Amino acid sequence: MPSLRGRVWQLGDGFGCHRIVPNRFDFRRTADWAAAEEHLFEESGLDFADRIGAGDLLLAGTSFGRGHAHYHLQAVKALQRRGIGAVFAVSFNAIFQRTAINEGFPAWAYGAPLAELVGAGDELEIDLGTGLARNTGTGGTRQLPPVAEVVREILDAGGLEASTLARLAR
Amino acid sequence: MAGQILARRCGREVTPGEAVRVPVDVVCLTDGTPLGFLADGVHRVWDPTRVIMTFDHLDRVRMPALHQGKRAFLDAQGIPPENFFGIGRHGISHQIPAEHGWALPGAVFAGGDTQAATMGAMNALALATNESTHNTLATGDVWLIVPECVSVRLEGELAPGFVAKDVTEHLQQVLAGVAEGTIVEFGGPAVEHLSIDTRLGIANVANNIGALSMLFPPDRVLLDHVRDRAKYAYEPVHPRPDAGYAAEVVVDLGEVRRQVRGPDDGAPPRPVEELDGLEVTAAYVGSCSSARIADLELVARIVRGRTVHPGVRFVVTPISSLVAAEAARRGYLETMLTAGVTVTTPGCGACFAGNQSPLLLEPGDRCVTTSVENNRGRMGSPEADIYITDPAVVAASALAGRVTDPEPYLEDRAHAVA
Repeated sequence: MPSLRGRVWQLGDGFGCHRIVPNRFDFRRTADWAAAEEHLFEESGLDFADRIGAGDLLLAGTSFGRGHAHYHLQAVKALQRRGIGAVFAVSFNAIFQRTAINEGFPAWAYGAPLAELVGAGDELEIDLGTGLARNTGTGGTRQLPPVAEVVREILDAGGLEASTLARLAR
Repeated sequence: MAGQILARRCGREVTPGEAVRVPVDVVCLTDGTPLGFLADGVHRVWDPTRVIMTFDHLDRVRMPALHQGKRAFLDAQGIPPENFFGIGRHGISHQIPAEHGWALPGAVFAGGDTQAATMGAMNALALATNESTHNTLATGDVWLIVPECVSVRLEGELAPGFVAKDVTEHLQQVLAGVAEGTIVEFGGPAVEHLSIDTRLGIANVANNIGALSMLFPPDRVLLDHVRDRAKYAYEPVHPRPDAGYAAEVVVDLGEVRRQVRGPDDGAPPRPVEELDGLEVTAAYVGSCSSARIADLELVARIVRGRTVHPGVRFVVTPISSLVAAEAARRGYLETMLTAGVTVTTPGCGACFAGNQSPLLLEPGDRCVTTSVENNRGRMGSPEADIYITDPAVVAASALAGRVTDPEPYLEDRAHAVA
């Protein structure tokens, strides 16, 4: 996976799925992910929600993606369609994180160390393969443990299904 | 225990934070599990003898070829007919594997539905694979970031008339911010007094607190339960005295109280007394977090010889065909039907609006329910209010037409059950 470079937004602790896409919508039933993206962050409570765009990187606190797993997929799909590069949280709802990675969307628990390197509005460059993170504004860097190999294999393939099909073809 | 199962399966010790691929013993599909590329007629499941399918969502609108279509897939894949829990043997995927010996001690269990951690009650490492299930079906493994474990020591005794649902509401508060992303391992002196059904009801809550799964130890009660049911060889995993936990929590079951949580998922739990008198129009006992035999017993005890309030539609959906049959044998169904309760075919029922259920909430409805989630629209109209509580509160409230503490309804019936 090539390194990611983007503007950082901070979302805080306990950012649940319903704040990504409101739970009153159930796009998992219709698989209408374009519609899911239309409602992205609609009830997030973030005053900068409409400025989060393609290539941006989300920095979150604990329990990112909390909420019933029925609604995880529409949240991940909406983030992906907006073009958001990754979410780095202090901790994730475990099933949300699995769903994100399965869809090929980087979600990794880099939240704590990255919060010391970058703040809202900064630009972050990060290589998931080497774990090297850089604040492009200050030039400060931090060496993090690389994302686990099994996960990188899935992300490199573009998601679990593509990764599985590649394994089956080997 | 989780670490031992993973080490056994991976052939080496594993440490929290690393990602591994773990071979699974069984995959449980539901009628709602997408089959992905496996529907192409070319790709094969890794081991047809280790795949089971339960019918529970019963959504004929979205899946018109529900029974025959799924049956054709299973036949084409060479999955034995007895692995298919279709109409007649159906029930929720978070009950059937425990009843029929498919979730076993020490095994790795992959479930296609969100609440799959429920099978952790069986001392299995139970993982929800959701939309990715077809990948596991094809490869026979599941990837996993090895989680930390949290120890929950259960002490004390549940008061009479209390069930798993009361424990799970309590655990959601006690474990908030403690168990996110972890596997919760239960232990302590209270475990041996909990029925398998109660354990299943408790482990069902993992997803609601963001835990990856939950695990109960393999005590005599469990080993007796699985002995004659087991569908494959198994090796129980016992807690190690030197096991390292990210946190250790003690829960006194004697402190568990009845709670009500609503009108939606933004509301905190409150003691039932605080909401006493709130008018209700719909009532539901069902879903994978309830509607086991102890729950139906409680409902029968409360409604026996009484009548559901004319302003309330009260629907009960037994969790499985076997539970429905047992409820019939004990007279609970007759008691409930006589009282004006609508009892439906087993399954997920009204818990989720996409399922087949006569309850489907309309605008302005206010529902008390034992089901899993109460985000707006979950059970029908987003303009309906949903209050999650235990089956005793639901039954008493359905009789009174308003939220009611069930204790007065239970007091005179401590020994009469049907």
